[in-house]
Order: sequence, then C-alpha cells, then structure tokens
Amino acid sequence: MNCTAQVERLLCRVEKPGRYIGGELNMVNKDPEKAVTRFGFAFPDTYEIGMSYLGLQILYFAMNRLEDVFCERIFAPAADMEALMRTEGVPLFTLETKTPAGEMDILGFTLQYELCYTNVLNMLDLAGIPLKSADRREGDPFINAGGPCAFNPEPLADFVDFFTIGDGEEVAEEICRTHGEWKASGASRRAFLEAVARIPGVYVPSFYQPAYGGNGVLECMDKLWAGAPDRVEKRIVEDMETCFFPDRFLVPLIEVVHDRAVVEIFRGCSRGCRFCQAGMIYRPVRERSMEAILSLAEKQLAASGHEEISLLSLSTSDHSQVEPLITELMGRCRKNNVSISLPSLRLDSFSFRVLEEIQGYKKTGLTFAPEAGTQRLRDVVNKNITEKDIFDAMEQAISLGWNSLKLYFMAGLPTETFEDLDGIAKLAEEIMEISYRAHGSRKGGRFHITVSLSNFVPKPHTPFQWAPQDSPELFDEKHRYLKEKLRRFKGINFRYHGTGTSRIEALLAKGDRRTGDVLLRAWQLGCKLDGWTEHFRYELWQQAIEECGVDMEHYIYRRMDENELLPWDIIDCGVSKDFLKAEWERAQRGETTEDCRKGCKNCGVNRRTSCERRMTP
Amino acid sequence: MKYVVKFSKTGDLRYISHLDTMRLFQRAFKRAGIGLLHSQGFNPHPRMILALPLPLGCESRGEYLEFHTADAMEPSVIKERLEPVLPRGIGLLFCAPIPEAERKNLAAQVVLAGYRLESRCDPAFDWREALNAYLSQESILGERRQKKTKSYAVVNIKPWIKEFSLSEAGEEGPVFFALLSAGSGDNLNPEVLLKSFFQWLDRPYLRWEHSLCRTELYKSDGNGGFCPLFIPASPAEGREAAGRSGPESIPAGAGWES
Repeated sequence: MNCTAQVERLLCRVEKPGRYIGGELNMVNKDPEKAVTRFGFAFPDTYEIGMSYLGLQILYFAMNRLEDVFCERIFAPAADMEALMRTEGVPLFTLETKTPAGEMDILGFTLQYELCYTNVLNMLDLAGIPLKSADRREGDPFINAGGPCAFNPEPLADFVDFFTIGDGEEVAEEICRTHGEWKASGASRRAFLEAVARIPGVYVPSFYQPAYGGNGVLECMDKLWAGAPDRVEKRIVEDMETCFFPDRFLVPLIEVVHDRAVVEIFRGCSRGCRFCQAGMIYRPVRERSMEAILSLAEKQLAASGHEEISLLSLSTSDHSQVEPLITELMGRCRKNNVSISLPSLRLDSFSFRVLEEIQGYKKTGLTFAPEAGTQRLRDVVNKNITEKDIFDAMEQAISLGWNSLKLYFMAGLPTETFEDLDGIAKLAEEIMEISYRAHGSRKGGRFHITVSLSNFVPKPHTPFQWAPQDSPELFDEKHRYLKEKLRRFKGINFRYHGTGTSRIEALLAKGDRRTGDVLLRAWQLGCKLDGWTEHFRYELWQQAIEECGVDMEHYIYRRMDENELLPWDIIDCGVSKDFLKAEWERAQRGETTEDCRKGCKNCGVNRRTSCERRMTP
Repeated sequence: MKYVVKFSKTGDLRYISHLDTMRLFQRAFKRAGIGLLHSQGFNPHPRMILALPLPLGCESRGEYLEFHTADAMEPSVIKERLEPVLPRGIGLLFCAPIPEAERKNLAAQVVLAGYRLESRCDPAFDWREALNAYLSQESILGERRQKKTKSYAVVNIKPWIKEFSLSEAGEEGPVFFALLSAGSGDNLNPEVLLKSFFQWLDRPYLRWEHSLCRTELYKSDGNGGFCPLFIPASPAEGREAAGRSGPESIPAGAGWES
C-alpha cells in the first residue's frame, strides 16, 4: 500500500512541497515486494536539514547495496504539512514510494542533537506506531536509533527498541542481515531483540532495569536477560580506506542547508578539548588517504554536478597531508568552476594562503573559536591556543582584507568567573585596535566583529560530564554583563543563545530513564521542532518538568561525584572513565594535555583498536 | 554559442520552484560535461535563462531554456548528453541553436502563455454558459499578489485574458484552455483567473481539484498574430514535438474578444 494519492492532495497546499516528493537524482528505487527488509531511515527534523547530513547519504547507499534491503527516507514534516496530514488522516510516509512509515520493518532514527527528541515521538505518533516499546506488538516496526546522542540512550530508552552505538556503516548491514534471518525463521519479536543484542554495538534497553538510590542516583543496571552484554561497546570502523563511502549522492531538487558534495577526510580528533563530545566519542583518528579523497571528490562532483565541495572532519588542518591535498583539490576545482568550503580550519599561515586563494576578493567572513576569554580558562578547557595565536591570526586576517570576523565563545564553562567574561571583551577590543592600526584610523571603515556566545552544556563521555551547568539566572546575568561591556564599542556585534534551550539540552543530554517521562509529557503538551527558535516552547517544557516532579538540581545543577554510576556508563565509548576523571582533575588545576599525536595520553581507546594508522604528527 | 532547449516539466517536478529549476539545469549541465559560458565580474554565474517562470504546482509542456556554451556543440549531442542526467519529470523536446544575429533573448520576447486547466468538479454543470456570462462582464476582477507589499490587490484582469474557453466537458469536470498575457510586461497567473472565475460563480476554489499545465509560450509573429516562442529551423529538430504541445500559431485578431 502507498499513499501517493493522499499526499498529492496536500502538496499544492503547503510551503515548499518539494520537501515531500523525493525523486532526486540517484534516488534508489526497488520493488518493495522483493525486499526482505524494508528500512526507514528517519531523520527527526525537516528535509532541508536531514539532506545536509552526510551520515544519511552514507548509510542510505550502504544499506541499499544489499539486494534484500530497501532503505527509504523519512523526514519530519514542517508544521503546515503536519497539520494537514493530521486533519486528512495521512500517515507519515517514505519519500521513495510514499509507503506509510508504519509498514517498515525497521525504522532507524539518527539522533544528531538532543532537541530533536520530541520530533522522534511526534514522528512515531504520525506513523501510528505505539510510542513505547512495551506497547508494540508482533507486526509493528522495530524502532532503532543511532548517532552521537545515542551515547546516552537512557532518555529515549522507553521508546526505542534497540540503539546502535558508534560508527554505523558495518553494524547497519549486520542488523539487516539478522533481520532477514529472523524474518525467515518466523520467530517472535523478542527473539529478534535477543538476536540483535548479540551484535556488538547494539543496546536493547528493555533487557536492563535501572535501580536508583534514595538520593536519586543510579545504583545499578540489573540485567533482565542473561544474554545481554554487561556494557555495550561502541562500533569502530577500523579502516577508512576500505570502509564504504558513496561515490554518488542524492542531489536534492530544492535548496537545502548544505547543498554541496562532501568528502569525509578523517574521523576522530586528537586535540582533546574537554567540553567536546565529538572529540571523545569518535576516537581514534582514522584518516582517508589523499588519493582516496581526491578520487571520491572527482566521482561525486561528476555524479552530482554540485558547484561546491566541502571537506569534512573535526579539524581539517590536522590531516597529515592537508597542504598537498588542498592545493591539488583547489587546482582541480578552479578548472571546473567548483568552489571549495573548508570548515574547521586552523588559522595558520597555510590556511590563510588557502583562504586567500579560494575567497579572493570576495571575502565572506572568517570564523574563529577561542572558546574562552582568558588563557587560564582556555587551559581549563584544553583549547590549546594562546593569546599570541589569536592576535597573530587576526592581524593576518585584517591585513589580508577581511572585514568581518566572527568569534565563538562559551559562557558557563567550569571555573568561569566574570574576569573571564572581561577577557572576551578585552580580546574583541584588542582586535578592533589591530584593525584601527591597520586601517590607519579610529573609524575602521566597514570592519566589524561578531562575538557569538553559546551556553556551556555538559555532555556525557567528556571530562566535563560531572560539571554543573549555570542556572538560567546566572546565564542571563552573564549575557547582560557582556552585552553591557561590548555596547561601548562601535563595530562589535554581540549574539548569544537562549538559556531555555541550553537548559533542556542539558537535561536531555545527561538524563536517565526517568527523563523519558518529561520528554513524553512535553510532547503531549505540544513541544516539537525544539531546535527551531520559532517553535521552541520553553513554558511548555517548564510545565512538563513541574508536572513530572523532576529535580533539575539532581540532573544538571549539581557537581556529580566522580564515583557515582552514571546513566550512560552502560555504554563503553572507547575512552575510559579513568581518563575522563584524570582530565577533569587536570582541568581544575588548570593543566593542559597536549594533542595525543605527540604522544599517547592513555585515553583507553587503544585497548580495542590501534591508533597507529596514519597518525603522523 | 547560443542554444535553446524546449522541455516539459511534469509529475512531481511541478513542485520545484523557478530558482530550483535553474539550479537543477545548472547541475545537469555539469553532470553532462557541457561547459557553460560564465558571466564576468565579481560573481560569475553560468549564462542561462528560463523564458518565463512557471508557477509552483503548474505542469508544463512548453518550457524554454536559453544558454550559452563555452564551445560550439552539435545540438543533437547536447540533447543526448543532457537527457540521461535529468531527473524524472523533465523531458527534452528539442535542442536547437539560436542564430547569433538574434539580439533579444527569449525571455524578452514572450507575450502570451497558453494553459490547459483541468477541473475535477461538477461535470453536470453548464460550464460553457457560465464562461460566456463571466467573460461578458465589463471588467473582470481578480486578486493579484503584489510583489512589493506581498498583500493581495483586486485588479481588472480582463485586458490580460486573450482567450478563456471550454475545450472539453470531461467525465470528471470541465477542461479549459486559457491564453494569457505573459512575460516582462503584463503577466497573469492562471490560478488568479481560475480563482476569479470560481469566486464569481460563488463556488469554493479548492486548489487540489484543479490540474494546471502550461502548453506553450508565444511571441509576436510580426503580423499582429502570435507564434510559438521558438521554432527550430530544421524539422528534424522537433517541430513535431513543438506542435503537439499546443496550438501552432494564433492568427491576428483571434481570441474571444473578436
């Protein structure tokens, strides 16, 4: 069954109907009747956001390589479409064949940010699938979830049948194969969950029962089925050279957020910033060779016709062959009128040569992330850059003609005081001075700086996981303080994030299984698309928190004890808890830890894998 | 070298906007390995232009894309290379060279657009009678969206209706043909006409009950009549395809007004 005709009636009445039609170049179309496993890749946000996500493209083509598997895409409808779907009784559907999502065998959600959790519930509801795993029956789809937020699966544990932790390329295939065998055997729903629980990297929450002490702290996770693993180890794709990467992409028919070809140049990061979850959970660093990158770039551009290509990694400048790679790629792109975008570039002299070359006279803006305003606090977070690095980079940028600089900072980092905020103002002020000197006048012309301040959200599996978050009142006070300080300077814009979203993000990031109740209640009250400023309803979240009697102090405002059992300890992210503890202690002493390319820092990931592959300093 | 491709845009592709269609072709040319000439200046972009934007949700069997390639190519080669790299829903009708002597681009030549409007409602009703009465009004009021203020303004659309007739009384409802002013001067969206007609009839206008399809774009034939926007010099280049999509040409004085 498909709902093509029903969808058709809605399309002429909604904004951007192109979001719902599929039919993009390189879209996979298979005979649904012949597929043993129908997998719905569900992105819990709108089409434009989901289609900008590289992981979707990788897993979509990786799964569709398998003959028995048909992987289709499902996105969250925008508010206008959802309203029409509900009044006309149209269920959530796949883009490929307009099949109701409820008819998939497995629905796999990717969790890229915490504020998408209400969308997961909303999509299940739109699909007519029981929200809680316990209420699903034989014949209902299995609900799966992966992505970075799955590293603390507990807030979604009641809603998701099984999680996949870590790199998805290989485990997705194993799950599909297991599903095929299970389907042929005609066994029960439970039998499938037992079978996937045996696959490394798979966590089936219903096989565990958390027990809490009187103080609300987790005491233990009781296993309800002996076959379940004690801890779930994240999956690691060992070799980027042999691992699957698509040589063609789905090319959206409408404009999406990142409308470009992408090649992932390496996975993981060796820098060890203490607030950064990606820097911990994606370890170890695994590079793709320059030859492989160039060949993939060429194939993708030929197959997609994109006008722009982006190199993706957590820190582009750290690729061992970054200079020859970018030089070669620039040469090839210039010939074909293709532009290059290089996110996460360290601002050293090579980068400036590159940026000068690709941006030329139309310098769009330069972004730089010192994260903190003083050297003391930068040392605490282990952002290994000095004041001199910052000023040298800014001086170079200004002398090369950049008129718009953007500086990223975080408020509420552990040990932060108002002196650190003064430091932010001082940095901005001194950069203005550099500009005055360079331009020879106090006017400075068109030159301006944007100071962008986000709120620190402690994340699981980082050295700062034990740290408390600032209260909303304190965040507000800090915002006001810095706003006042920066107001005096012409040419400095100040932007900051709302405290409401940061608070909810922290709760969902560090929550346990009981947090699921708040999530459910918030959704019932009407929360969805929380990542969109215009849709986020803080007062409804507040109401849900109050109704569920959640103690925010317990979850996000207290400094957690290093020895307590954490809700996400059930997941082994590769990096050891001892390492995180040691880093947390060093942070409080203001001691830095250098990049582990310069020598192993015993983070623990090499207990299971080797860090040797192309880790040249 | 200057070329034109005539194409159809049908099925789900009608939900792709004008700008997205431009981007779609820009990428298709890249995939096909056809190098377009780029404009000079600060923001070089490929030199290509669609003759007339198509309203979102409207199909078409008469779209024209004019473009400049870096090197001269056989039109048949362009068509062969482009065809396999286009998404389903875009169909190439012909590709032909535009004479170098032609000064005006196609977009500047468009004066009329033909539409086939299929309505799935009330097949028993006397639509012909209703049409005649509607068209005999002194002035015909329609709601047009103002580009600047983004609000709706009621205007007299009668001068922009060259023809509005019943082409068949289908089983599901009436099928109309409309010939409307188009191009950089006056331009009437067929939906504005349908809405005006239904409102005048005191019937609800439900967008999903109507299928809109542009059949052809016309330019002045120099003798007071109109002809399709571009007719390839050699019949092999798709005269047949051009003819299938709409009335070949419109003699001077034709239309309901005469």
